[in-house]
Amino acid sequence: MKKFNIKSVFALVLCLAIVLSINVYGATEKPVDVTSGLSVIQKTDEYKLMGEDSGLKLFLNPKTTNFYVEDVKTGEKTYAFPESFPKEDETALAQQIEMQAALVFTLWDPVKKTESRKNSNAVCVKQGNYTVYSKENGFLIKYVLKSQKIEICLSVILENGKLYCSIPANSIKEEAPEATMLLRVAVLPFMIKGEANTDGMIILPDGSGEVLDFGTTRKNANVYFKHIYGRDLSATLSVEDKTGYDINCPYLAVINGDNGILAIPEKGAAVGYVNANPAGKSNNFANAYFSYDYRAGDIAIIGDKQTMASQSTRVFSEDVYEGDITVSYSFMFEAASMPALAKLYGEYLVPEKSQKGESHSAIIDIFGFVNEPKSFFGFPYTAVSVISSGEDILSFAKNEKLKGVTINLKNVTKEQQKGTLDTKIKLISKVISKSQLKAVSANDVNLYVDVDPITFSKNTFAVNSFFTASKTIYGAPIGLYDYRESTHMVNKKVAKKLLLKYTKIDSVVGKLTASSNKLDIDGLSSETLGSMSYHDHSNGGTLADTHAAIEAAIASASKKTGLLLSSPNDYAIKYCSAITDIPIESSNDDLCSGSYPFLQMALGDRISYSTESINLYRSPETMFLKALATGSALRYNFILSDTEPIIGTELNYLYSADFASFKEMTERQYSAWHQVNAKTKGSALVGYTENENTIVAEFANGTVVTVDLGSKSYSVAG
Amino acid sequence: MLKTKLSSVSRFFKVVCSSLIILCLLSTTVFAASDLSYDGYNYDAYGVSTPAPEGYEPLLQIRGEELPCGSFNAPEDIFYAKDEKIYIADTGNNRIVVLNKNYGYERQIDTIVIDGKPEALEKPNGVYVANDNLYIVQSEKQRVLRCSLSGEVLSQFLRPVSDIFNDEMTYTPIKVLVNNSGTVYVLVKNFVYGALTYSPEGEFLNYYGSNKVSATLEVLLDYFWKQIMSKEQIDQMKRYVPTEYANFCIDDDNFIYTVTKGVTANQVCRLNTLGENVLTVYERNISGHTGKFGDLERQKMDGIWTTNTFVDIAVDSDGFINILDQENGRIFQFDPESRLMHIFGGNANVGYGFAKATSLEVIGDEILVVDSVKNTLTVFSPTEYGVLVKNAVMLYNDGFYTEAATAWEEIITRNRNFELAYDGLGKAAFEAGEYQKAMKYYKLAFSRDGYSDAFKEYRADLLRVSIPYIATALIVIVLAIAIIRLKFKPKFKIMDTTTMQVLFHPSDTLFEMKYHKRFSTKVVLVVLLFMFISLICTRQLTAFTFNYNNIEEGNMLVVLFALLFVFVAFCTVNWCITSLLDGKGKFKEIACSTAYALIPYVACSYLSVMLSYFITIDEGMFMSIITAVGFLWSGILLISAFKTIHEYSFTKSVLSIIITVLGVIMLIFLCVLLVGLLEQIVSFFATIYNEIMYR
Repeated sequence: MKKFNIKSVFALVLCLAIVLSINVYGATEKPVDVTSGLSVIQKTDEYKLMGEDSGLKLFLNPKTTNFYVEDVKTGEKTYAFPESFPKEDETALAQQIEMQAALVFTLWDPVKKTESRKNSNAVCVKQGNYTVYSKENGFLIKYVLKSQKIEICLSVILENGKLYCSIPANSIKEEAPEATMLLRVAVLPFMIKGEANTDGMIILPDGSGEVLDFGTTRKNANVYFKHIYGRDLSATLSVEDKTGYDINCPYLAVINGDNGILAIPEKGAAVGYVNANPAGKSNNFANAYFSYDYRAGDIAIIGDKQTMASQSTRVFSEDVYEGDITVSYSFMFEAASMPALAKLYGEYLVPEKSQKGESHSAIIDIFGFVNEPKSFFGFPYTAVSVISSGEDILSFAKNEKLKGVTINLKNVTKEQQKGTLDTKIKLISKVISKSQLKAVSANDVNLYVDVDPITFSKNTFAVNSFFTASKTIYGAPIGLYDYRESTHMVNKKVAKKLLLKYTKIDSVVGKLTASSNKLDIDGLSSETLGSMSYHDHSNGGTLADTHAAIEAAIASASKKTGLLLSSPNDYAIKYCSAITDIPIESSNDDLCSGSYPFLQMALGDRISYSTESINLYRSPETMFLKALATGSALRYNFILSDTEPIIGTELNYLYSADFASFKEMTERQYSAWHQVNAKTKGSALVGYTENENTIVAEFANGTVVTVDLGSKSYSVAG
Repeated sequence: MLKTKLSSVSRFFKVVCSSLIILCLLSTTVFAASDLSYDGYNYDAYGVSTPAPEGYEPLLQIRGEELPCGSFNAPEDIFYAKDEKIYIADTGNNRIVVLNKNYGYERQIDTIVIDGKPEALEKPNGVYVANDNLYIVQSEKQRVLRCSLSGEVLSQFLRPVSDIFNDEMTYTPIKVLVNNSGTVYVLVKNFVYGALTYSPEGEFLNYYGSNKVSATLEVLLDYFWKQIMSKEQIDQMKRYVPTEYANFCIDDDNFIYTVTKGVTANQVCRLNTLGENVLTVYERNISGHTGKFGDLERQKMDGIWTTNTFVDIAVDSDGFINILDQENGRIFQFDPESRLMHIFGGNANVGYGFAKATSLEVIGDEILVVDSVKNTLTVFSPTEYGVLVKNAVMLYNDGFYTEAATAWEEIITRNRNFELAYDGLGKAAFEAGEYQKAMKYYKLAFSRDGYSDAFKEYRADLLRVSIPYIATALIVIVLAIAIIRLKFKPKFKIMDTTTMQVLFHPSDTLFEMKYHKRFSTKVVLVVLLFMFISLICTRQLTAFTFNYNNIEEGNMLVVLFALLFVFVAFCTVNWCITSLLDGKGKFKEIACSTAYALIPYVACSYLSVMLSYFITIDEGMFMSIITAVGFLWSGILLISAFKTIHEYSFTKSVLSIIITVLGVIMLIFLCVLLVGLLEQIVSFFATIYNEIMYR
């Protein structure tokens, strides 16, 4: 037998490697020119029909690049931006020019370290630096910022009754980023608009929905500018970011007389922002739009953060956003209303009604243990204190007055106890054993177990840098911080939580799903999985990559088990059995005049959704009544036995979670909910008016629920 | 060889694992809290902020543009008068806006009539209404006006002519109030001698109630130096003057409440007619927190400590004190006994958050806050929880402990972290004679006085019941010991002979040991070990009544390190100094002698800890006596020991100890300095590196 010749094997491997790399290199795709194959349109100053679909027509003026959508039936038109301005309009000329731009750019000069704002009308259209191409059922405009050496394309097409405005992937070209960098681009800032002296409103996707009246008197209010899906969690913050609710479900809706538009950022939302301005601030219009980060940036502090000598500088990611940016616009030209627009949004969020067909009446978190700091002869340690045992949970599940509730078990797994990243569900048997779990499940309850596949405190699979430049500076994993209630600054006594690398999300969730199938439970719940947003720069993972990974993991998990997610992002909702912690109000930004349950109207009868915790709210009865008025399931957080151990622990926020004290209230509210639900039959919310302390809610089957927040009473009619 | 290697590897891992386990046990581990966004908080006994339900919630926010009067512009003051009208000093718009009690617009006053001539009202900074008179503060015009409600000026309160109010002082009135008898009080900017008082006609009367200078260490030191310095030298030194009041208000009983910004003591005062502060100060668990009215936690942000800036105060009819912190946009509410009830509000761009809260007023149960940047008036009303707490506290303060118990129990269900509720329940249980239960509640409330009182009663009951058994057991034990000693003559001793002799005959015994070279380092190790244990016991095991430490926190490694460091430093410094002072003692002798000298102190520490479980606060002097005896005994032993081993006289021995102590302090100071310097150096190089990387 010939001896095994290591040299020849090595040579063979080397040859293979060379051949493969040549193939790979040779097979590398060249970037696609989005304009290839498209015919150029002459820049005449007249509106041309560019597309027709589902009773809508699309017209474009190639000279001004303004376009409108016309309803064939009514002849109503919606323009992308104002055609002209009346003589008496006092808006500054520069502002008028910007208002007639399809795209607005935020640029950065890395030499002078200054930011500037340009728009496609001023630098491209007026200078003739653009080309219009014809597309099937639409058109494409290539804008060239000559001085800045930047090209960007905007594609507009009619399809399936909607208008799709996109910046195609790889259509942004920067030839001299060392001189000018593109940071952000805003898309059609004046598509969603309303004039100050007209009746109408814009709904912003803040909390349940936030109303911006056209005629608002709050002209001096701060502009609205918020990141979709919340801030990037892998950024390091020294002070808590107190900006109200996150935007988990991004949309914009406007009602202007009988007309309405619903805008949805279907692609690129991960790097998107929602912007809104009140009328009268710099022009006569209230408007709202989406903008997108082409290049993510942050402020880095140089110097000692503890002294006045620190300075800040802007740092930017080396990676740019390479995906599509697409906003879809749905139009209503007659009898437009917010409930109707909400219904459209609901069809987008949940294309098919809840997969499991489950209807949840009350979703109750029960906490099993708390890690209690103790000391043994002066040596501090943490011990597991059981605050809801298996027997307590079983007894709860057997409560006849709470038949059919959904129980979500929190703090029952070893993973939660240790804060580690485990991929199997290991129950803490001193809290609840597998057999006890089985016994609980045998009762008429939906049973879920809470897991956290994204955050952990001790593991190696953590996101460990923010930007490439910071890798050598920070080094250590970056993650989530706890903040002091008093100063809103980082609480250094509490260990930060690390974030899982996005490449691991799918496998971790997959293993947890497989593990859950071995237990007698209906599914998994997570407070973090559906709502997290972070970069993973160490892996070259952008926000979009992380979201895509999370969505893939959720989609895969939902095929095998039920999913209960807290405040999930829009892409996750369709995979869930139910969703929780949907706000009943908005952040009440300065420029807005109130809250509106747009999200609840959208979710309607398509999926079960609950409010935030009733017993932890400052006025539990108010939260309960609002749950009735918004068609929400009830939500509670409980500890079933003595709550004393939670004092001074990480669960000290559960200061009013003692079930014994809330038992009577919960049973009463649960019974009342069923009485109301027997009439509404789970139909969608289609009307909502709030007048001082009274709310009148109309449901699709004609039922009217009236709640009086003053006297804490309710009535049902119809 | 492989086996050897494996066994050494496995030994290595065992050592590593054990070390890690020990390190883990010795370190404090606290896990991350939840990130629920409820904003209410309060403070626990250790001054750590903890989540709490909000006592007040925003009811509505009024903007001028929603009223017929149009937008407000930098409003600075608000007042609710007995005629049930709300007066807002809309400074930027040069007017006073009057609203009714339902926040509907009534009228505005933008013109005043002086001597029959109408004049535009300019920049009213403050407003007050009393006896159908409207008082308007105009800081820029350096006057306060008393007008009729229609704006006719009846009298003016101008710069007083007085020796104290000299020419150098500028008269800039900022706030005004009027008492029941019509006396007008005016706060003047930068005037540190309290408020100026005037008759209703405008005649200056006197000064009222200045703040006192806090007797800090710096102030005391300066006072000492001033006793021996010359006049010229004193003139060069800085002077300590009281801080001016930021704002004030008056209650129905004519007590004036003041609030001062930028101070850590006397932030809030309740002044009687003589100007003396009669505010009840609530004693907190940590004495440093007693008398503080703002946040107890501070952190550095860009080199500046977070702080509170109190700008207004309002007291409701039940005596609950509300103070406005402009820095953080928060309202702190205290009960009449200065116990913190709620903290709510906050600066924020969203919701009902503030940008610059400038003034505060109370109408019934509602609290009104004016924001001079957002130009809003925000109305807060009590939540269900807030109403419960107020009712319970009022019953509690009036002594109806049992009646308040039900309310406290309800409150506990809504806020497990609320220590006052446990105090209330403790008092109720005490009243009902359930002393053990009372002790449990008092412990949760960190009320040592209450716990001690309950323990006293509990102990009395226990003794009453068990004294026959205790007496019998004692007799049996004594008899048993006697029999055993007589019959069996046991050879064990509590301590060996040498140690006993050192304790009672230190000079002779140590001389013998020195002469025969019988000092052993084992003694040092044993004593240090027992001392370490005694330090732990003192910190962790002293009974609750006398233990102010947070026993769940604390790193014993630090204690061990400190003990070893101080001991070694003491011995080393003493050896160095006695070397210079012709001392004959060697290092080993010094160490052993010091160790022997510590024995009484250590033993008394153990006794003190044990005793703490059997005595009340009133009997605490016994612990102090035991500790003092131990300290004294150890001191005497140390002097004798050094006298013997260094062959010093008594005076020289005492002197060497004093110099040694000073030397140790100096050494610690130098070490701290070194560590600080190293940190600065590291930070410097890190800054340069960061700058290069980013630029």
